[in-house]
Amino acid sequence: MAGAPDDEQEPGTHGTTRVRRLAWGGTSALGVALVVSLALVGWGLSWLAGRASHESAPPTDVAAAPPVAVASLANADELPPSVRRYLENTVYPPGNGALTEAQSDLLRPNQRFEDYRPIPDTFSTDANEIVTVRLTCDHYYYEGDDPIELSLEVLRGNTPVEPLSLDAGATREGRAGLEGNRTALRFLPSEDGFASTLDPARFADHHGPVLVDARIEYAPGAVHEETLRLFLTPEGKIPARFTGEVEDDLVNGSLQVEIGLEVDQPGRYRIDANLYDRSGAPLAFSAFKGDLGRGDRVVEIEFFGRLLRDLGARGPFSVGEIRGYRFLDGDYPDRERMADLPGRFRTDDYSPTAFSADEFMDPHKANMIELLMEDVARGIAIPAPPIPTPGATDFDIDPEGRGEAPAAADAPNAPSTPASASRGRT
Amino acid sequence: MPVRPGIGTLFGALLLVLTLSAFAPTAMAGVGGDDAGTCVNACGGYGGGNNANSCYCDASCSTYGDCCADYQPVCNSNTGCSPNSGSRYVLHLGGMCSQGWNDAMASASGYTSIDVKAVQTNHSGLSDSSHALGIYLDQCCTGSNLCYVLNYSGGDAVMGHRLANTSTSYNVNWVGTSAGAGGGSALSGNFLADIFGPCDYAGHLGRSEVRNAYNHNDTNGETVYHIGGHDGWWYTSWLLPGEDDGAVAYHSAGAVTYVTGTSSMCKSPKWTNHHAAWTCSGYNEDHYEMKDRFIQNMGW
Repeated sequence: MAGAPDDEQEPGTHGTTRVRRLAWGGTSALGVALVVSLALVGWGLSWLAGRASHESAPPTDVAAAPPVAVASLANADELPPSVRRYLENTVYPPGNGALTEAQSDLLRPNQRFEDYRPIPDTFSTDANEIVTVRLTCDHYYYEGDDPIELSLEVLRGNTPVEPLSLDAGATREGRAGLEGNRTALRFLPSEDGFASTLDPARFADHHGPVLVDARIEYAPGAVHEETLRLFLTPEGKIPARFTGEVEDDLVNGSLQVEIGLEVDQPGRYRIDANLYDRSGAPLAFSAFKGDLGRGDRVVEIEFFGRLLRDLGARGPFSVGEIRGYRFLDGDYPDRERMADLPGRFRTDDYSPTAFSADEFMDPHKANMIELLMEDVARGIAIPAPPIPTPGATDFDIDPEGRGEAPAAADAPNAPSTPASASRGRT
Repeated sequence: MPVRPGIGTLFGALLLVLTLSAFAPTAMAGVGGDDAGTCVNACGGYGGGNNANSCYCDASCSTYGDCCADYQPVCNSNTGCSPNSGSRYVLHLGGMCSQGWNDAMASASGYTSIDVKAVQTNHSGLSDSSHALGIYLDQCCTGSNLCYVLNYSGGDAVMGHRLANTSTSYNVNWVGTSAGAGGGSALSGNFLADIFGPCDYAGHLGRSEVRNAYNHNDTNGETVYHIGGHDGWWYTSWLLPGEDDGAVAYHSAGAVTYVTGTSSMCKSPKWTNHHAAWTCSGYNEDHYEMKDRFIQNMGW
C-alpha cells in the first residue's frame, strides 16, 4: 500500500525509501500563525469593546485597539479561559510526553497485572483459612516463538497449598468465543508454586487471544477455576520486522529518530519508542502512527524540541523499548504485533539549546483555537473542569457557573463530595 | 504475597458467600446486554458477534425493526451529525454490555447531544465499539465542527483505544470520563458479568487485557478528565484495591499508570494528558450513580 496522501516519499540512505510525515514547522507554521493572528484581531476587537463598556473610565477607542498577538502561552492572560486551557494542554504535539521512573507502563510495556484472588468458598474469620489463587504469565503479547511462561500459586493464608488435582489447558479464542479443542497444560512444582511453559508452536495456526484455564482442587471435592488471557501473533502473521537500523537527526528544532523496518504487510502501523538521557534516566516518549507500504521503510519518530528543552535534555541520548504493531481497525483481533527491537541505541550529542523553544502549532491546533473563539463570541464557551490539587480544598460545584473555578487556594470550604442519595450499602 | 483481609472485610465476605444470589442487583449497565449483534464487518447481512438478539445489518432491517444498534452509523454513515457544518456536539459513549448511552444526555447551550451507538457486548466489543466511535468522531468532530465527549465505565477504554490508534486530529476540546474502566477491573471474568452482564465483553475488562490494549499515554492530543465514586458494594469491594464504586477501583477511575490501592482520585502518576477533575476524594456514589455525575457537575 502506498503511503497516506499526506506522506512524502524520498530516496533515503542505504537504499531505503523514507516515509516522511509532513512537518508543520518553518514557513507553514508562520502562515498558520498569520491566520490565527487575524482571527484573534477580530475577536480581540469585540472582546475589548465588551470590556470597555464595563469600565468606569472613558470607553477605549476600539478601532485603535492594538491587535492581539498570536495565540500562545506567552500572551495567555489576554485569552479567554477556554483558549488558555487548550493552549496549556497542547504545548507538545500529540503522542509526545515526558517519561519518568514512575511510568512503569511505558518503561516496562507488556506487563501483567494479576493479583492474588480469594476463593469465595474459603472465606473465614480466620485469615489463615482463606485460599487465594494467582494465575499469571510473564507478558500479555507474544510473537513468533516467544515461550510463554505461566505460573500458578495457591495459598491458604500465607502457606502454599498443593492442589489435590490440577487440570489446566489453553484454548484459542475468536470473535464468537472459544474455538477448537482445549490443549492440555502441565504445571510442575516450582520455586513459587507451579510453573508451565506453553510452546507457541502448538498454536502456530492461531492469531489472537488464547484463554488459559486452571481447575484447582484445593480441598477434597472443592474445585476453583481461574482463567487468564494472553495474545499470540504467530510467525506467519508478524507484519513487519525492525532491521536494527536506528539513526537520529535534528529536524526543525526537534530530535528525529529514524527506525528501519522491513514491511511484509502494508497498512496502518503504530511504532513506539522511549528516550533516555545521557545518564540513562527516562526522558520522553513518542510514537509514529501512519500508513506503511511493503518493503524497506524508515519511520520517523519525533521527540519535540520544546519538550526536550523544557526537560533540560542534553545528549547523547539513547532510544529503547522500540515496539510496534499493524493496526486492524474494526477487526478481531485488532492488531498484528511485531517483535520488539531489543537494546538501546545511542544518539548524537545535542545541547539543550539545539532544540527549539517553540510551542507546538499545526493547522489543526490553529483551527481549534478559531473554533473555541467562535464559541466565546457566541457566548457558548464551555469551561474545562477544574483540576484539584492533592491536599487542597476541593472545588465546589457551581452548576450555574460558566467560568473556570477559582484557584485551589481561593476555593471556598466545601464538602468534598456533593450530597447524593445513598443506597444504604456499607 | 496475598493481602490479609481485615476482620470487617472477612465478615462482609462471609455474608457474600451466604447471600450473594439473593442480594445482587439485576444488570443495569445498559439496555440490551446479553451479546447484542454488531454491524462492524457485517453490513448487508446478519449482525456479527454472539448475536443472541438476532439483529440484522441489511436494508430491510429498518422495515422489520430488527436493525442492530450500530447499523445506522456503521453501514449508513448516519450518526445524526452534520459534517463540517459549524455544528457543536456532545458525544455520549456508554459502558460495558451497552449499545448506546441509554440515559439522559447533556443539555449544553449551543450544543447537540449525540448518543454514540457503539456495541460493547461481544468478545470483540472493544474493537467493534472503537471502530463505531471513529465513525462518529470523523463525522461530528472534524472540519468546522467542535465536540466534547462524555464517556462512562467501559467507554473509557473505547475512547482510549480509538485515540491511541488514530492519527486523525479531532476537534474535541476535552473528554469527560465518569467511573472509567480504562485501567481494567479485578472483577472481570468472575463477577463483572454476573452483576452487569451478562455479555461476553465483561470477560475482557481484566486489568492485564485493558492496560495492554492501547497506549494510555497517547490521547492523540486530547485532554481527558476523570471522576470516580467510592460508594462501593460490600460484595465486590473486597476484590477491588483501595476505594472503588463497586465495579472499578480508583486506580482505573483515576487513570493511574499502575494497579494500586488508593483513596485519592489525584493519585499519580497518571497517564499523560489524564487529570482528575473537581475532587481528589471522589463522590459518595456507586458505579451506577456515577454515570451522570459529569453531566450534573457541568450543569448540563
